[in-house]
Amino acid sequence: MVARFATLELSSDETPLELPSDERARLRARVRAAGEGDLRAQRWLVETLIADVRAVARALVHEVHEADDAAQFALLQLLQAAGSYRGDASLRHWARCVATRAVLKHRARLRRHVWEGDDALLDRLEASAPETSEEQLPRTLREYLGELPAEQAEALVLHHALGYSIVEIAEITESSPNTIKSRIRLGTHELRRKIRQDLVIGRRARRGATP
Amino acid sequence: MTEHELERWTARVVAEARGRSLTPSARAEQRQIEREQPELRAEASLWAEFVELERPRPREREDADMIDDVLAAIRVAKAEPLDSAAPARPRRALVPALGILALAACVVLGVAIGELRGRSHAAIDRDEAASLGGAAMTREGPTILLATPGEHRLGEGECRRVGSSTLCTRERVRFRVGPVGQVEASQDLSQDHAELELDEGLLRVDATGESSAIEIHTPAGLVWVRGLVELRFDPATGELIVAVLDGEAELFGGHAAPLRLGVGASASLRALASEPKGLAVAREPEPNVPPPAKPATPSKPIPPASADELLAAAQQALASGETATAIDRYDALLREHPESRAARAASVSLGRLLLRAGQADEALAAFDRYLASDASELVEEAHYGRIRALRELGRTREADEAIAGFLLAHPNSIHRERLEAWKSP
Repeated sequence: MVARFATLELSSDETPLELPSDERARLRARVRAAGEGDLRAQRWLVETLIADVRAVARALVHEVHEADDAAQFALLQLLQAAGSYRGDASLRHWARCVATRAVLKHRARLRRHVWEGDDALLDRLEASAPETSEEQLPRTLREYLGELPAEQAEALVLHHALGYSIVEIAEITESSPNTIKSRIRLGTHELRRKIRQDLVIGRRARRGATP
Repeated sequence: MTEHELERWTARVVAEARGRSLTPSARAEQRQIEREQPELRAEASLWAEFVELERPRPREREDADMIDDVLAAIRVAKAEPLDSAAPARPRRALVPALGILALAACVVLGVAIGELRGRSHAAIDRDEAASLGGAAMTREGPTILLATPGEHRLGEGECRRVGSSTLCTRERVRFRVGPVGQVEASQDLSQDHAELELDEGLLRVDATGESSAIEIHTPAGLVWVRGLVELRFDPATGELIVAVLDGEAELFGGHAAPLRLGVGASASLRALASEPKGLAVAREPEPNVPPPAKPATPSKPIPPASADELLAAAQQALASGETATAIDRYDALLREHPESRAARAASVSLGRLLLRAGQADEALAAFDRYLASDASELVEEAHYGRIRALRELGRTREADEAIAGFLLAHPNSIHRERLEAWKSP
């Protein structure tokens, strides 16, 4: 099985439908081989897709070490899902969707642990939160997102950072498209309100600080 | 300016930050919008930051380390057999699958017993449910009736649902269902919450869903269940026995400190004669709890979790990304069933998790334990983990010796390239 793949060189962002059918079949077979436990196919798949998976984890998880854990969890989920890869979408798009679902699941667990009072985790999250003085306003986008209701922040990140359409977000989060539209609209409104408020405070503080 | 125009402006700012060029008309419209709302210019850079969210950050793990960990995890999981395992099926689905099989069996038994007994408790409950608008719910096929508020009596093999939790019994049980609803666990996380009073008998509570939790009151105390837990309450002795098969349970009562039980743990509470709502905490796992009061009439003991159950629970935690819980469960497996086949492979999994948690000393001990056993399937992974632990501990000479031994024993290993790079000059 390994020898069959030795000469296969495919760019993972090529859309399978644009590939000749025999190459599409070989790509599908290689991904499925990874799902069935072929060690070399597994390594190829993980090496090919790790950048996309980590990008998804970084966008959705604020704390660096938690993002690492989420990415690792997503890669494992990817290998488990590889056996059922149909080749309808590009490999990267498929991987990003699987990874997004996995990271969201991981994040939900994380929130539950925070709620349950995992002291070590709380310490880590607090240590990663930067202190901001009024002169430094506005703050970073991550900080503003952290202050929004989680579902609104999540919808904004999926839409603007990861480039998913409303319909795709609805599928990934198992919500209706109208719900997603509403989350994006409310999140945008709230994010804009916070940014503008801080811009005004920051300007005032800087004026006050100027000798 | 309309909301739609603002949305379009935002989307274009993000698109430009992504490197996409706008058409001249789109660019003109952007400038027009910014002239009408000059404050938009100041916030543009923050919207553009969405593109930055995907970029690497300082203090991240190396890609190569993560790839190694993922591939090792897959190999180790493959080599972790369940002692009494049936043919292969996805490990992560093992516990839910067992649960569904058990539930299906419960329902089939319940229906059969209902037929034999004529108008059984199940039939009574079914009629009650129908009168309330047919409050039946389906889980993976078999129908499990929703236990409506009020008293319920279940016989052998019968099950009911309360909120998102399932209640079954192997013998008989009498309980009353209280309020069921949702509570705000945090600003953005709500949790199904149900309360019931266990009056008598044995109850297996499955509250393993992500948002499931159930509060069970007895005269001996209160039990908060988040997982798969068996409870037996005997009104004659006032004793409540609790055993955790998956997840966790917390016990409250009288003036004793709350007791949190993890997987494999069991404890008993007893109502004080003079103070019906008080309790005496009876046994394990807290070493500093008061000594047990021996039950007057011992109840049937609940068997501790088997090696398979603990392994499945650890794998489930691992598959869910709950590293700390997985470490606890592997620890429990090694402690409770050190000689089992499951425990041998678990040493390697535990070693890897400890290594990631920064506990290189303990990780080294776990890998050494595996290598000292007569197991062979994961020798390569155990050796590799041992080398990583030695490097973490700064034991360079030993690490070099171990690398040399590894490369001789496993010349075609997928770790070869990295190990050669790790050798001291």
